[in-house]
Amino acid sequence: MRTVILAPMSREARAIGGDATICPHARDIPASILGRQAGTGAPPEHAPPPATLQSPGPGDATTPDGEAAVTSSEHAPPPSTVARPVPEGTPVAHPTIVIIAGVGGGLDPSLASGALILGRRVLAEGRPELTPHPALFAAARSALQAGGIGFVSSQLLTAARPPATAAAKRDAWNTFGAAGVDMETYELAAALESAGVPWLALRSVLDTAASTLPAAVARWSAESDERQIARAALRTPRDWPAYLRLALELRASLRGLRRGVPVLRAAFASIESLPAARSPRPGAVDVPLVGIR
Amino acid sequence: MGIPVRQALAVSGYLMKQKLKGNARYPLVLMLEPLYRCNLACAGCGKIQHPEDVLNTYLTPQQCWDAAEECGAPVVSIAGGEPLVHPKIDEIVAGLVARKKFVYLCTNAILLERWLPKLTPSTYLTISVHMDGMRELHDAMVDRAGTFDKAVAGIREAKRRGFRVSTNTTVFADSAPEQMGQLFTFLMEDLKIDGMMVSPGYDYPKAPNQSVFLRRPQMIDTFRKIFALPGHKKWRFFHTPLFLEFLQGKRAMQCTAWGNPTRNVFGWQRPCYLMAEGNVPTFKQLIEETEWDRYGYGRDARCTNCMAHCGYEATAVKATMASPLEGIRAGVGAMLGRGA
Ligand code: SF4
Ligand code: SF4
Repeated sequence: MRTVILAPMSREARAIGGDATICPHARDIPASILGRQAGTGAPPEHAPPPATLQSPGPGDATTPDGEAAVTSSEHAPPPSTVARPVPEGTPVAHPTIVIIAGVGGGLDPSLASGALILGRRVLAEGRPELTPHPALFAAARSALQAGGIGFVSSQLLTAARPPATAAAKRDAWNTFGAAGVDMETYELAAALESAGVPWLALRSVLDTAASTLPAAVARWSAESDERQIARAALRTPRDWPAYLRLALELRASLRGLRRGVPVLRAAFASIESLPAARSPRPGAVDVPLVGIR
Repeated sequence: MGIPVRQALAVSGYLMKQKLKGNARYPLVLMLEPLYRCNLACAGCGKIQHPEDVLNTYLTPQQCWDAAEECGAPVVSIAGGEPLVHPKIDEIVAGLVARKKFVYLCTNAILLERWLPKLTPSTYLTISVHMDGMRELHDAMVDRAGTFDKAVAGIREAKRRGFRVSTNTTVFADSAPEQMGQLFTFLMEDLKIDGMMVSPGYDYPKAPNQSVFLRRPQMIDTFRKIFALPGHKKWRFFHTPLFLEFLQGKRAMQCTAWGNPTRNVFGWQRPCYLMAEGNVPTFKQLIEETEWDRYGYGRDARCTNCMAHCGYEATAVKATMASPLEGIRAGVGAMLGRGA
């Protein structure tokens, strides 16, 4: 299957290897990736409805036991196939696997900058948790292990404004039990999930749980650009040591991504089909304000 | 915080040696379960639900000593089951003390008075009595009337005979902070025990009563309330100040499951004292072949509500060693009533 890397920032995309697609928002995911979504063609903006996966199209074959399987990985899907729920366990043709890859804040206090977090669940406050396709997740774990790449499989939290101080990170850790936090994974995963595109999230720790971000970075929002941050940094010399530390952490973090992503990409290249995953339960339990999932 | 100086020095020396050797994973406390048989059936226990043939299997004294030598941890906590049901528990303890292991003999104390004449007081031996509350709560949690009085009598007799005595309290959903405070003050001031240990109950799926367990946010809330009670400065815990801060949600920690390896009647239990995912025959295999990164808060759903000392005290000890100043800060905070 074709593997596409979605990277929220250009710096991450460059580190990963050039062909990563930069998507800071779910709305930026190219239609070619979400192309199999039936009917509308537009990715949903919000939490996914119960998944509708499509029946196999041309290029798929039938296995001896009667189940459909993909034999050729690069066939484009038929544009007008009508979406319908697929029974659990039925192999479904997905033209694309998406790896959402980037850097993120560390919440698990045992992780250093550059440590890789493979998302076993993606959380956002008040939203139903998202889980990657189990077969994909298992394949990723095996590939990273076989490649001797250190990682933890844990939860990833998406927040509009990630915690910036050690105390805020501690509270987020105690509340959510997420090893890392970022601003994009949930929205991207939700859009992909709705389109029936299998996805996986990999984050590399940038700032550790014990560190406090300099003020301008802490104010970062999805709309900020790096030049704004640089200008703000220049105006606050007392924060320069913190920026220097962050720059070193960023190097380690990007190095982590450079190690992990190619291993996953290589492993997924040999996947021909994925069994249909269990559909998200309608009304799945929301991640609570206080409390751990 | 109540741990004998000799033990503190021995453990610090051991940790430094591990650091110098460059060992990434090493045990601090061997959790030794020489049997699963118990004379109680507590509401929150996940250890005793085994078939009769397993309950009838006991480790021999030699197997216990071999386990202590094989893993090399400076501290051995003898748990179970009820260790005092083991017919050779005095031999096991004597052999471990002879090997200069700091032994915590955990007991519900029902048989304690019967065994005391056969045990010898030592700086290496601490009798650790299970105490989950004052009379009414304790007897309800262990599901047998009269157990609290027996435990109190056992503690008094052990102190009279010159033993070091500590208690081990598990905090459950029914443990109101005020009740815990009353218990800790009673243990310190009336029974004059040497120190206490406290841990939130782990939600064992096999435990007979699932309603007794707290979820993590409730645990943090309960411990904050307990350590805000008047009189808490007089309580002495056999824990690092950092662990007590962790219980109150003031410190983020990840579990160090390999810090407290478990040897039971099947072998070395994977991955920790609380979860049983199988056993391996040697300690080396346990350390080298377990995928440790798979376990811990956030990584495994079964760890979500675990804040037990068998997972996190080793993390706290390592953090204290890595930054002694932090340890001192937390200790001073505790003494001033700001931390633990
Ligand atoms: S908690 Fe201890 S005393 Fe209670 S049943 Fe279990 S082993 Fe026995
Ligand atoms: S957090 Fe650690 S000690 Fe607790 S159940 Fe998980 S692995 Fe075991």
